[in-house]
Parts: sequence; structure tokens; C-alpha cells
Amino acid sequence: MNRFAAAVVIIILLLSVCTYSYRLFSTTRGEMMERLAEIEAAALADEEVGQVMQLCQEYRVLWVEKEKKLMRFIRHPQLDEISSLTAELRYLASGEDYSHLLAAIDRIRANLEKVGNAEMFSG
Amino acid sequence: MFTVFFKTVILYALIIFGLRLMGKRQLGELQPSEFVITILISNIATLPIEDIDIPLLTGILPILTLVCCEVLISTLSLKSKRARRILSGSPKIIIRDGVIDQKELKDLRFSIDDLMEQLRQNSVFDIADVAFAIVETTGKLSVYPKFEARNVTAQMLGLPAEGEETAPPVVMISDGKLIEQALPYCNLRPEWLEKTLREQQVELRDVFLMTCNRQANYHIIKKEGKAG
Repeated sequence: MNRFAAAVVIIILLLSVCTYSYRLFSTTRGEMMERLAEIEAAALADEEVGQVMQLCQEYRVLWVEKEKKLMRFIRHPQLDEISSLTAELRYLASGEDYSHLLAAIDRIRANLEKVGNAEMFSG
Repeated sequence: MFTVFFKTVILYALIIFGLRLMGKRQLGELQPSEFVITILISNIATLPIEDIDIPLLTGILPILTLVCCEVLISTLSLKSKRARRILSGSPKIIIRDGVIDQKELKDLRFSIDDLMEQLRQNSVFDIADVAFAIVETTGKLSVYPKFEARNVTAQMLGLPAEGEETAPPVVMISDGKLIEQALPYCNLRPEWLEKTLREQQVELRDVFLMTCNRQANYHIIKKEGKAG
């Protein structure tokens, strides 16, 4: 296989990796956003504290699982920011005032959007 | 620390692979784009090694992309003269018959000191001896001296050519090991080598370097400590 053909094959592989990485993040972002919306809805509807905490805990478990795959493609400090906010959710949900919880959810959303924007070239 | 170790090994292997894919060039003969790529690759490779928060793929992807772009560009340069001119430029004649083309020199941002230095490196100490001097796309200067300043050749002296073409000598033994292709190249047999080594009172493993040409003219350098 000559150099030109090898280069073409490698470029195709690289583009495939980029596509896979972007798809992985998009899927993860979609899932996490849905879960955040559920937590937010539960908090706004004044559901039982236990239920909101349970949703936060499930969210955290899901994020930890997804983060392991994302770490291969995305710089860790960006993911660390989301992880630290995610870790706080359950404890913020245990308080009477959900404003801090809702603020943390918004910050997680903003970080997810920021990482997603960075993944796709926009100049 | 294991992370750093494995990242380093993987990136090292990747850089070797990338350089092999790009093809061999001496550093001084790199085209501008190749030079830029080489520097970029070395800088990019250090990022995931120095910072464990940077994923390995963040180093692998740009390195391979740069290497592949370079291969594609160089293939395009091979096939298209216009592309070659745009990417690498074209050689420029800066001295004709001992006269410097000052406009060309200015365009190339070549100072007189640069010119004189390159002439001296080509063993030319007088501009008047130069028929043509060409600045190549790599920045090196090629000099074609005037007839009277050229080295004398066998042809100029009218010396008869040798009966058969003289091939350069090859390495026959390197660090005590026989190079298999050398004997057939020199049209010699293993028995000749054994006899020669016996005459020189040296064993194969004690030879540091042996060169030989097709006329069976050889030169042996023994390993230090084994001489005599």
C-alpha cells in the first residue's frame, strides 16, 4: 500500500474517530440533559426530598459511567467541573431551599453546552 | 506515573511511524512545509506527556492529521508543477557570470553575509569565479563555477577511462559480523575472505570494519585491544 493510500485511509479513520467522539458526547449530553430536566421538574414540583435525592444519586451514577468513556476524548478539567457539580447535587437536594440545587443544575447544563460547542469546530 | 510512561512509549512509536510515513529526509533538506510539520509534531507530542489531564487521543489525532496532510500535499506537489511552485517556491538564480542579481537577493531576504557564507561552504572564495549560483527551495546555495575555477577531472586531462566501471567499495564486515550481500557484490567467494583474514592474522569477530571493492582491494580495521 503506498504512502498516499495509507494517508487517505488514516484520514478516514481519524474522521471516523472524530465522528464517534462527537456522537458519544451528543448522546451523553442528551441523556444527562433529560435527567437534569427530571430533577429540576421534581424540585420545582416540590416532590419529596427523598425522591429528589434519589434522582440526583441516579444522575451521579450515570455520569460516572459516561465520564469514563468521555475521558478518552475530552480534556479532564472540563469533565472535572461537571463531576464536582454532579457530586454536590444530592446534598443540595437534601436542603429545604432548592434554589442552590437549581443553580447547580443550570451550571451543569452550561458546562455540557460549552464542552459540546468545543467539540464541533466553529472557528 | 504509569500513565506518563505508556503515553510516552505510544507517542514515541507514533512519531517514528509518522516520520516513516512521511519518508526520509535530512534535516537540512526539508521543504518549508516539512520543517513546520516536524516542529509542530514535536510540540504536540509533549502535551499529553506533560499533562496527564490531556487524553492521549488529543496528541495522536493532530500528529496523524499533520503527517497525512503532509503526505497528501507532497503527493500533490509531485504530480503538479504549479502546486510545487506554490508550496515550495522555485529555485532562484542570484549570481550570473560573477554578477550578483541584487533584486533577487533582496526578494529572497538574503544578506551579503549569508551569500558569502554559503559561497565559502561551497569552497568558493571569489564571486568572480562563479558562473551560476542558485538558491534552492530549501534555502541552500548551489554553485556552478566558471570553467577556469572548476576542479580538474580525468576527462579534462584526457586520461583513458578504466576498462570497467569502478563501483565504490562496500562494507564487508561490520563490528565482527559479515554483511551477506557484500561478497556477491564484489564477485568474491567466502574462501577468499577466509584466506584474506588468515593472511592478515585476524579472525572475523575481531574485525571492526572491513571494506572491499570489485577489484578485491580491501581495507581492514581491527577492534581496539585486538590489534597485532
